[in-house]
Order: sequence, then structure tokens, then C-alpha cells
Amino acid sequence: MRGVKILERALAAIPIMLGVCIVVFIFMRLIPGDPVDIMLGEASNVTQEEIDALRAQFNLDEPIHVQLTTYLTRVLKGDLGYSISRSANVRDLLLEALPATVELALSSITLALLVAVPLGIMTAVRHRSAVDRTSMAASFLGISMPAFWLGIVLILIFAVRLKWLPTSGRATYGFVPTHVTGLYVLDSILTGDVPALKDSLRHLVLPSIALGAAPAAVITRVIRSSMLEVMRKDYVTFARAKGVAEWAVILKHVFRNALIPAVTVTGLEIGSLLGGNMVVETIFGWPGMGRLVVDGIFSRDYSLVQGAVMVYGFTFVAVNLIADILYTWLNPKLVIGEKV
Amino acid sequence: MARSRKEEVLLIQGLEVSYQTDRGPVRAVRGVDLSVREGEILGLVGESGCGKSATLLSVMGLLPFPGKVVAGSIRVCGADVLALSKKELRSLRGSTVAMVFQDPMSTLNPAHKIGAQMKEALTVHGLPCTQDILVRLLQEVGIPSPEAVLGYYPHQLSGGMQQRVMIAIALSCRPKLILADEPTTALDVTIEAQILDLLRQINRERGTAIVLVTHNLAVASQFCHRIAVMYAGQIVEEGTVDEVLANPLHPYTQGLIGCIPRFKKGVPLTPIPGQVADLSENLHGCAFYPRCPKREPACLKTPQDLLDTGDRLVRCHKYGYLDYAETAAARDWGNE
Ligand SMILES: Nc1ncnc2c1ncn2[C@@H]1O[C@H](COP(=O)(O)OP(=O)(O)O)[C@@H](O)[C@H]1O
Ligand code: SF4
Ligand SMILES: [Mg+2]
Repeated sequence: MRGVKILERALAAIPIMLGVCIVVFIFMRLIPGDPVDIMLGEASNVTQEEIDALRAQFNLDEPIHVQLTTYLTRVLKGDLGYSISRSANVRDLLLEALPATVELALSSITLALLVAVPLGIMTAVRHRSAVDRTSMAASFLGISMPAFWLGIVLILIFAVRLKWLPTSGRATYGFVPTHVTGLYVLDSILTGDVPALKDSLRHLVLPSIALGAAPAAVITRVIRSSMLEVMRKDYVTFARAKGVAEWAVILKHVFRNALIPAVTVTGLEIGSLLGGNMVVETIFGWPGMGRLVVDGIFSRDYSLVQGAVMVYGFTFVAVNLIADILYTWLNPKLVIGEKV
Repeated sequence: MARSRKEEVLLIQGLEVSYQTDRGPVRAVRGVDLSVREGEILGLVGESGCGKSATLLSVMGLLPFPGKVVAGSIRVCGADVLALSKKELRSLRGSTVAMVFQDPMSTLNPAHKIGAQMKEALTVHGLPCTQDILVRLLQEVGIPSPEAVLGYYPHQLSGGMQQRVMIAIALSCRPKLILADEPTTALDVTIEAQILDLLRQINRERGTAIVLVTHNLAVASQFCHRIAVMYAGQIVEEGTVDEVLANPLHPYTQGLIGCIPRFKKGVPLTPIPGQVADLSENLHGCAFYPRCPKREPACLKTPQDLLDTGDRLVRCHKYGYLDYAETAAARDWGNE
């Protein structure tokens, strides 16, 4: 029953993804200039024949609906096309960039939750106390500070001045773990490669803080306010009236029921982190999706951008589905697919 | 009125509760004295906002922020509630004194199964908790197919069934005293009668004392042994049900009785004109003055004391024909 519902939801995502795919396909072609223009932009002494030949080589001379059908047929066969700007298979490029971004996203959100959950609970329990006020001020800072700015400050302090942590990249040369999943931390654990584990963790620290600060602040606030709301509920008073200890009231009765909004924002934050933050990835030399997509857009690399957008669509659907499944577990009244 | 302290399950003296708000203190309870003996059902009656819930929550030590007990004493089975440590207070809650709340739909935790919520009530007091025990507790409150219900979430039950579950939880540790804060207000009339029957049966069979808070005098009249009528944070009349209903003395009680809809045609409902007193203000003289049909200038001269008329306590100087000694005795009523 539940499995069927989940499958239903997953299948319902297919037309949405197809739609997104088509829209991006068309919009990319509405941006002035095509890949050939960009490639040949600087070059002089190119003849019209040469340009036409290049266009024909990438099927850019065909009418748009023909290009679209060709593209979709290929996608169904698992071929995402060829990246003109990077001279590589789009699928290979994505498979390389995606784990980098996923690893950074997971690490950032883990860090954010490690801070936000205890802090959110504490500020709600100690409502209006000094802890509460200080944390709220700090979280205001966290929300308003741009990630790239925080990234630069962190690099300047911890990498350049103190030299505690590396300035950029995912791993020091020679410390890349054997490829299993593409997530370096996971791979080095799976292969028992301790030096690689240490190395990849050291590379993750600063970008994770830079990207995790804002989600940490947002999630703290959401947990706090939703806990404050739940604390006023009758069932919390009833739990106390049963003689339940205060910490158990907070965790079992308040926190548990305050989680739904927190799950929603955490889902949203993961969704946006999975897109890859272009500026932060650039600052930290992180070879992720953000950089790939922005480069792709600037060089009008149609196949690359389309491929990336499909990955986005897919992760978006997956994150939503997971959040949905969590909702039904948190609130037994809900059935999968109903909105909170 | 000689009574031994031993059988007094609840003894409240001079209780004052105040909510510290931005606009100054709201004095929700202003010197309430109450006593409930073993096996007794006391009805606490009054319009909403008169401080009934605040009184009960004080007994549990559960007044919500910014409410505070500012004066008085509360004893539950001899234990001085206001002097207990947090831990001692916790072990009192649920075991010696249990509370049943108004709205069952919002009082059971929506995220936990009935079985888990019942289990918690037992385990926090170190009591054994087996499937059999839980099933029996549900049977006692008249829940059909209890085994299945243990696996339900609250929303899968009707309001009446949820209220029964709440009562089962309240009863699970065999409390000496049950504080029921408008337990039937949120329910249909037929369900209301069933729930009241259930409470009465518990009271008869186990001698559990019950304080029933209600704003419905008709409910109180069918159910209670004694009634205390509250107005603006004070008790204005107290006596046995029969006496109070047959011959209400305080003009407010008389007004409330005028409010009971009678099923005879042609008898009009007489609502009490005006609104409940503003509790953020200090009262001069009688709190009921603005709404009292029998008021006279003398009513505003001094605060009204609770006077003992022999069979009853009344807070209205019109019954103040007693001499000073008797009045003082009336005020200290419940001490001995
Ligand atoms: N949190 C609060 N802040 C300020 N005043 C409150 C608060 N809660 C209750 N009160 C006031 O206390 C008075 C008594 O409330 P309550 O005990 O709930 O009355 P009842 O149960 O008789 O309806 C009311 O007049 C109400 O306005
Ligand atoms: S004291 Fe006066 S105003 Fe108050 S109830 Fe008695 S008659 Fe009415
Ligand atoms: Mg109330």
C-alpha cells in the first residue's frame, strides 16, 4: 500500500521531468548565440562554409523540433550527448561533478543539523534567556552573511594565515581514494584508506562551514519557533501532568511534533545545496555541479546544461519524495502525497 | 464542620494566582479556599475566565508562563505542593493526582500510538506495564476491542473514545484525586452523559475524589456532591448541591440558575447581563457589583468576605448577619 503510493509518486515525476527537459531545451536556444558562435567568437578569418560545417556536425542546422526529438530519443537510450566546451561525454562530466557536489551538500547539511538541532531545542526551552537572544542574533548574522564572503574569510584565516586547512580542491594529489561511489569520504572508509579519509575531511571543513552556516541559522529558527508553538499544546501539558520528566517532555512530545517544518526547510536547503553553489565551488576550487552548469551556460553548451538540469529535476523529485515519506512518519494523520 | 485532616485529599487555602503580563498583573485567582475529601465530588462552577483552570493547574504545578502562585497553600494528601522539589512534584503528578483536560482531540499526542501514551504514564512512575494491564485499563473505561485500540493513533478514535483513553491514562496509577477540567465541554450531549457516568462510577467504586470544573451548572447539579461557585477569581458561594440549587443565596448563583435552559416550554432563559470582571484591575468591594441586580452602595465599601450562613458559604454582605467570631471562623473554614 505504502510502497505503491511511493511508486505512484515517483512515476508522476516522469512527465514533470520531461516537461522541464523540453522547456530548458527551448530556453537554451532562445539565449542569443549558439555554441559555435561562442567557440568561434574571437577567431577572425573563418569562412561561412566552415561555420555551417561546424553547425551541421552538432546538428544545430536542423529545425528545433527535429533537434528535440533526436535529443529525447538519445536520452531514453541513456546518451546525454557530447559537451562541446569540455570535449567530453556529458554523462561522464556529470558523474564526476555530481558526487563532488553531493558530498559537499551532505557534509554542509550534516554540519548545519549538528548545530541547528541542539541550538533550536535549547533556544526554545530557554526562551527569552541570554542563550536564546545571543543565538538569535548569531543566526541573524548567519542568514544575512553571503556564503562566498564567509568562504573567503574562512580561507584567509584558516588556510592562508593559520595554514591549518587546505585552500582548495577535494583532495591533495596522491590522496584520492579508489573510486567506489565518488564520495571521497565514503570511498576512503569503504577501502579503509585512513590517510585519504583524513585528507578529504580536511578539504571538506571550510566549504562545508561556508555553505552550512545559512541553513544552520534557518533551521535553528524554524525548530525554535515550531517548538515554541508546540509547547503551548494541550498534549504537552498533559504529558507533564502524567509526571513525565521535563527532558522527555521536550524530546518525545515537543521536538517530535515540531519536526515537520524543520524537515520541510531541511529538504529545501538540501535541494538548493545539491544544485551546487557556483561561487563557493569556484572559491574553493571544488569540481562540482555549480561550476559545470555555469560554465555550460556561458559557453552555450546545450547538452551539458540539459543534462545537468535533468540531474536537478531528479534530485528535486527524490528529495521531495523523501521529505514526504518522513512527513507521514512524523504525522500519522497524513497519507503520502498529501501536502502538510 | 469538624473533619479530620487525614481524609482531606485536597486542601487549598488563600490561593492567589497572577499572570504577569505586559499590561500589568492579571489576578486570575484571588484567595480561593477549597477542600475535597476522599470519595467526594466537588463541582467548581463559573463562567469561563473566572480562574477555574488556573486553580486546577496550580494544584498540578503546571501553571503556564507567565502564571504564578503568589500566595496561599495547596496540600494534596498532606503534601505541600508549593514546597515540593521538581522531582517530588513530578512523582506526585499522575500518580496521586491526575488531570483530565477539556479537549481530548488536542490532549493526546498525535504522533504517538495510544498504547505508547498509556505505557508512558505507567513507566514514569515505575509501575509495571504489560499488554494485559493496558488492555484492562481500556476495558475499565469501556473501550471496545482494546487490543486494537492500543495500536491506534489518536486521530483514529472519536472524541468520546479519546476522552475515555485520557481518563484511562488518568486512572492508570490509581490516583486519589482527579482534577477534571471541563471534561465534557468538547463532546456531544449523549457522549457527555456517558463520560460523566464513567467518572461517577469510578468515584463510587474506588472512592476517588473528583474536582469537576464546568461552566455548566446543570452538569454540576447532576454529578456533584458539593458545589463551589466561582466569580472573578473568588468563590462566591459554596454548599451541597441540593442546598445551593434549591436555594441559591448569592445573586450570581441565582443568575446562573436562571441560565439553565429548562425543557419546559415558555420558561425563558435569563442570561446574566454584563461581562465578567476585568481581572487586571483591583477590585473595590464586591466583584459582582456591576452585574448584580441587588446591588446597593454599601456593596462597594469593603471587599466582601466569605460568610458562613450555617449550611453554606456566601460572599455577599447581605448574609452578614453573623457576628464577627463566626465570620472569622467561616473564613478559616477548612483549616481544621
Ligand atoms: N497566559 C495568560 N496571560 C494572561 N492572562 C491569562 C493567561 N491565561 C489565563 N489568563 C487569565 O486568567 C483568567 C483565568 O483563566 P482560566 O483559569 O483559564 O479561567 P477558566 O478556566 O475559569 O475559564 C482569565 O481571565 C484569563 O484572561
Ligand atoms: S455584595 Fe452587593 S453587589 Fe455583591 S453580590 Fe451581594 S448584593 Fe450583589
Ligand atoms: Mg478553563
